[in-house]
Amino acid sequence: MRSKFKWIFTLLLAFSMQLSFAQEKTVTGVVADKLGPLPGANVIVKGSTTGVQTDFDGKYSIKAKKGDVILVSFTGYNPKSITVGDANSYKIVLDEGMILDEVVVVAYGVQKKEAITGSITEIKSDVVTKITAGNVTQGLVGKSAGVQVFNGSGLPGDAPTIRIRGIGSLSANLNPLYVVDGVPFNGDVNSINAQDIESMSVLKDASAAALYGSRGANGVIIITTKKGSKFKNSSVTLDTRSGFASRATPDYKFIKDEGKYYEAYYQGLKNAYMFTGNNLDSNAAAALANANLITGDQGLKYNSFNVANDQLINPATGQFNPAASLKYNESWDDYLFGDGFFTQTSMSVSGGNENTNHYFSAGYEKNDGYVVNSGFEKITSRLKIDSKVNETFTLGANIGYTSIRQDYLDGYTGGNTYSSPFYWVRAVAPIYPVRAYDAAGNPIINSLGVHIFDDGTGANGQSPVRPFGSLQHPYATAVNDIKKYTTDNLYASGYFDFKILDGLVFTYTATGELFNVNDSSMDTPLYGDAVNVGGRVSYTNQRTFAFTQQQLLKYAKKFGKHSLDVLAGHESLDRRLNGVSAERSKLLLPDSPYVNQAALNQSNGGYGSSYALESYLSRVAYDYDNKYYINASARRDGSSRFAPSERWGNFYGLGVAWRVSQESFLKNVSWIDELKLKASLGQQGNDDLGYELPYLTQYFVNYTTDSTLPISYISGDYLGNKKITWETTTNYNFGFNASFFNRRLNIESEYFVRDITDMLFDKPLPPSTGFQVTPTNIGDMQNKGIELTIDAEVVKTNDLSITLNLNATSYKNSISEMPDNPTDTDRVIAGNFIREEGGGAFDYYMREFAGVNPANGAALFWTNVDDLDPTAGRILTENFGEADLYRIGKSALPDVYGGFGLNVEYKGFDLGVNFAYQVGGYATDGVWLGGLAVSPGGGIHSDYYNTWTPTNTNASLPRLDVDDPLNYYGNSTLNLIKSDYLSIQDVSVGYNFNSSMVEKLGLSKLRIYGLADNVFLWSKRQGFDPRQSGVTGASSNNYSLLRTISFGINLQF
Amino acid sequence: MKKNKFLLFALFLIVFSACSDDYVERDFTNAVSEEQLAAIANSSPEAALSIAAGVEGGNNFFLNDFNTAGNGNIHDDFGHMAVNLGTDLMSNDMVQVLSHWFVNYYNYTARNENSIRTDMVWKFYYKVIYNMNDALKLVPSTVIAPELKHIRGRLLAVRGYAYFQLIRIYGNGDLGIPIYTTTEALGERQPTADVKALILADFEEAYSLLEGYSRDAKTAVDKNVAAGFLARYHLEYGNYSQAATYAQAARSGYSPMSSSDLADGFNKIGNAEWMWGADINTATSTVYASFFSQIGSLNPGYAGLLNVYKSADRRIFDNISATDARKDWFVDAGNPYGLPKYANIKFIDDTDFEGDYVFMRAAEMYLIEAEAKALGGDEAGAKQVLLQLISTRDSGYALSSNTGAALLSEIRFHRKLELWGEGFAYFDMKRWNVELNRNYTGTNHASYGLFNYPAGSPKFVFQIPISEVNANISLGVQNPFE
Repeated sequence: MRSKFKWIFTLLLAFSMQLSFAQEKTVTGVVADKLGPLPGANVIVKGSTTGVQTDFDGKYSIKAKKGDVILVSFTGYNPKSITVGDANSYKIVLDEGMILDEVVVVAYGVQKKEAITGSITEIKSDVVTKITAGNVTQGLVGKSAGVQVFNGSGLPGDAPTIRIRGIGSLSANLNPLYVVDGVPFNGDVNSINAQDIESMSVLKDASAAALYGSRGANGVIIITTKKGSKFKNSSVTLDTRSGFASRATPDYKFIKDEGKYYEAYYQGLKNAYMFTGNNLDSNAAAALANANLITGDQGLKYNSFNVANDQLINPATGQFNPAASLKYNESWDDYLFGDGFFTQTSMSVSGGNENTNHYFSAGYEKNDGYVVNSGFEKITSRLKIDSKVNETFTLGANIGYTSIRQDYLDGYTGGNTYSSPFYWVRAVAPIYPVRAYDAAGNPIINSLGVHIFDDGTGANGQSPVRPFGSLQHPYATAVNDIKKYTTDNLYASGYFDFKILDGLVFTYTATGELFNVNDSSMDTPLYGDAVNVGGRVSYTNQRTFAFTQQQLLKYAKKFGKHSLDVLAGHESLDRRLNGVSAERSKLLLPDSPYVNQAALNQSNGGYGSSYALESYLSRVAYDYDNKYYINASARRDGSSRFAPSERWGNFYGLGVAWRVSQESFLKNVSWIDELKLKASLGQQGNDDLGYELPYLTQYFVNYTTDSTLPISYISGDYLGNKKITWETTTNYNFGFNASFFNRRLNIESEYFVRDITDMLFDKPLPPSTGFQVTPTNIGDMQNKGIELTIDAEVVKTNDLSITLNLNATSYKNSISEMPDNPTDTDRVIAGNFIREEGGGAFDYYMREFAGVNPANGAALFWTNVDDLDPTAGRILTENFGEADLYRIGKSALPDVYGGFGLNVEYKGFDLGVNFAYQVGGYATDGVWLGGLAVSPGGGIHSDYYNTWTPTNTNASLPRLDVDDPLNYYGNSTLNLIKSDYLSIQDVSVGYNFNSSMVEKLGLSKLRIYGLADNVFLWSKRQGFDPRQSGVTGASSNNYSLLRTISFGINLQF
Repeated sequence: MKKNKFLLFALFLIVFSACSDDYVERDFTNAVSEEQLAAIANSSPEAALSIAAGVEGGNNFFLNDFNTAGNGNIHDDFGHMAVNLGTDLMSNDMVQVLSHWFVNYYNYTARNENSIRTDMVWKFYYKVIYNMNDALKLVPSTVIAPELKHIRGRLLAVRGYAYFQLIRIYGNGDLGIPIYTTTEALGERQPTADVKALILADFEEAYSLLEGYSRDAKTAVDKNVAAGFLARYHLEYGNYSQAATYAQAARSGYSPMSSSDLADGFNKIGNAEWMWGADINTATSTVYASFFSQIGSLNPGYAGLLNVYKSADRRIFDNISATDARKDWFVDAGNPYGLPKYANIKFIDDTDFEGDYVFMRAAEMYLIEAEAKALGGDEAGAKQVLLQLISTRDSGYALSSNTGAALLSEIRFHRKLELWGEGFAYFDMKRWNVELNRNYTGTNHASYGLFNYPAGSPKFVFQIPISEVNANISLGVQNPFE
């Protein structure tokens, strides 16, 4: 397999001075691997400063004397040496081997893989380019031990939530820091084209991430983009793929059959009359329910069948009338959702010579998404140049521009709002049509001959008022609203390197990031809640500019077996956001998204925020004989977010490693290639609780159009805290890396402890104080866990190679200290969770559901529960308010999570399958419970058949009752479900045409491939996707994940 | 080498001259910080007055703001009028025709500790108290200048009123509520007597400080309004002669509205009878989440468009005299608007959700005085005051001939009718110690509201929201669930 990347390591080849007196001649030849010539291989004369690289045809030409040893090396191959004899030409064939001198991108530079003392996972370009998601980090699910990725929404381009090594804090920003090409990144990762990515390194522990101190407390993901190669000629790569995106997992099983829905709702009414209201007997309740089914005050109002209202259900049996037939049959799903077309094309040109190299790329992506009128289009471009001006001076630039246009609709981020399509199709009963019909079932046509939409207000004069979501019509608003985000991202970075002395280099990098987002939003005057104001149109423009400067001084020196690397530097960040917005109502033209074409002023405003950070950093790395490694780092940061007295924090890291395999007692054990033990510890800080200036209380000036009023203002939601300061994470990491059997089996395992002190937290205040929260440093927390990564090439022959990989992480989270309280209940209750000393951050605190009373179907709960011995002496009660809340012993955090996969290569074919899994956690499924909380016109889940009815008294679920809605019982174990899952994350199949055929076409590589991601999911309930529920474990109505299936071609010439 | 040394020097210059101390110092651009306001307030007494007035003005916005509790897109959260309407729906007098926003009050689930409605009520009034304390810090009791005294009076009056609402909603016998003033923060539930003492002290100090204050708009509290508060307070706690005195003082300068104003829809703050209210305009309108949206049967909001009407209990409508103009506040069967029988048209907004809100008007003062006098033994005086008001409502009304319980019942009937929909019914039900009786023969209440609770039922007391219980360890005992 050819690899054409990572020329940086060539810089680390040491050149030492030596004199040579024998007669020099020119030695030429070809370096090849089994497939053909190998361009870019390194050919050096051992012990000299001379070194060259093979050209495009694999040819080299070097001056050497007879008796010299010529060393040939190339990443991905075992190095080979030959001794120069009498001949002048030598052909050298290299064998593939596992990475030896591989270099890993680490904080502010690179390190050889064997020198790493910390915990780093690298994801290579070949894996990255298989990711079809608009945001490349979405494809990281299951790919790295210790990294949990939650794709909260399947909206193309949306960023996932990433948690590295457990929960870093209770409410501070938990996102890792993204670093792009050595500079902390302030923008959105979806502005980076996956095809431009050389590698992604995940730095998980302190010594790895300590140099990013303040913002690296939750781990760091370093993205390195491709740079030009040192070929004499440029090479061009073209990659294009297209396919379809559809819904990845089937939806919850809500009742979609209209007749069954009437039956279920009828039962809900009858149960209410029997047990919650008038306490009627069964016959009277049945008759009353039948009479009120359509027209009663809790009636459904719409009769979608061709029989009379009281003929739908037979009150004697409760069954639906089989002789009735539908007047109309429309499904909201069909209108709102549909498979979307998706395409991604990218072209890059890279090339150069010994002094200059360049990389240029352009890409285009379009994804129509799964929801109507919600497509996404992206154009990316990048230009990188590195130029060695002379022996002392190197400079370079990296410029990228991305433009994104995203059409969106109200509620696309999910949530329980009527305008969210995902909420709507679950929450609306199937008997309500999308378009309007009269009582006889005839379409209602307007004067223009259009069959109008039914917004449920009855305003068309012939339809009744829909009891659920009247005035709302997510399809009509989706197609008539005009809403879009237009984003421009400009990234420009320049650097120069000064070689001051031998081994001492000064680098100055300046990076400017400019991103501008326009949000243009028009609510149609034709349907929906803007009808009565004549439509609404608003426009917001937000511009963010971040300027980062780095000044780094690096010194690298080898003294015999000793090797020393020193780094000292200074970094500063200034990030400012400015925005302006305007809104008017009363549109002149019904399809105009322009504010100036509307009449009535609603609001306008200009706003902004800023953030600044200044840091001093240093690192020392020392190794002896490539066997013993030690590195240490220190950093001091000041953040604009804290008061001057609390502003600065100091953070450090220390790591050691011992390559046991290099010791004499192991060196000759043939089946052990590498065994390295490593340990590290370090501190990092976090300053981000989501507030701009948490130490100051805010007052907002009230906007008014009345000039007689004085200036007035009101305090904000949080109470400022002068003492707020850095949250500190102390990471301990112990582990080993081992490779066996010629690197066919690689095992990496680590035990980590993350101690978090002074956790940043939004502490709830008693609302009687006038505020609801105050930002605080509160308590300590600990995450302890173990990670394991194994990859094994189980079959390796000339033609066939099969590799398996597995990663697993298990961690426990516990709160070690909460702040003292006057009484001894040092605890905070946040939603369904209780946080107290000794417990975890996501331990459930709920009422326990105890089953169903067979006499009347009421839900039973336990009361009189003793916290220490929950089952002793507890009593059943039907009164939810009396049930006791206690720590039920379950957590939202899983016991084990990770991924595994398989890679097969046979001749030119390759196949890859990746799985992800999670075991042992629990989640609350509010979406499902909402389907049993029957209300007029609300959807009912098919678990209705497991609910209690007078004829099904042994049921496991409480009776359906319109007067006693179950979703009131959300904070109880009735709502709890296991969040275990197993998913097939992606499947890729490809074929590389062999080089002889390919050369005839004038190409150097041709590959065709097929990709599928989010292929399949097994979870505990159909429709429930634990990958979306995030760390808090709650199901949601977010945009569902998409399965994309695409086919593509990749060619190079 | 020289060149290198020069370069080295230049580089170090760049490294160390990069940033000044101020580099990391930032201020808000979106909002102002408390420090900035305090700095202005400290610069001069006039400045302190303007800052205090600014906080007071901000509170006036807050009184009618949407989503005051931060619980999301909740269309039954729009401030003081939302509490008025919600509590009205917990009384005998108002019917919620369809299950929609506000049904939680009607079906008595809003008062449960987990409900976001009790959460909203509690948070709302405590935020008002915080705002008042925030401004009161700048105008302590030692101020002398008239403007400062007047603003202090206004602030105390509103603070007292917020506590008055809270104690009547959450107080359970002797168990009161937490007290926060400019000098103390008592998170534990204080005895009801202490809360009452604070309320009375605030009202009385306000009444005396507001002497000579002439206001620009009816959105500000003045001496008459302060008298009105004192009248309400004394009526509530059985000090009848003081209630009557203050009620009379409160309505001085006002007279009952004309009959054309009675039918005008109760949406203009300029109405001659209105003493205190809110002036809603485009910038402050909360559109669908507003009072008129929820109660205006002819407006394109929840009531008018989605048929979630608020109707009168038939025991009121059926007993209105045929000559009483207030009969036209409700519709009969076969009305030209297509509304169901008993629906109200008392509240009609003839603007685009910019109708003004009434918080206090003179008619209430007549009724307080009449009831206080009747309860205090001066039945003749009671009848006279009642005549003064009802004669402007009912052309066929003559001096009442009832006495004793019958007179009281007549006064109370007129109070229920006159003040229907203005946020008094629930508080009166508790004060009169009567039962909630909706499930009677011929009732026009909706099926999900058909239940009865006896007089003095614990259900009439709201539970303290769970957000307070969880965050306030020293709070004390919760009100009973039932």
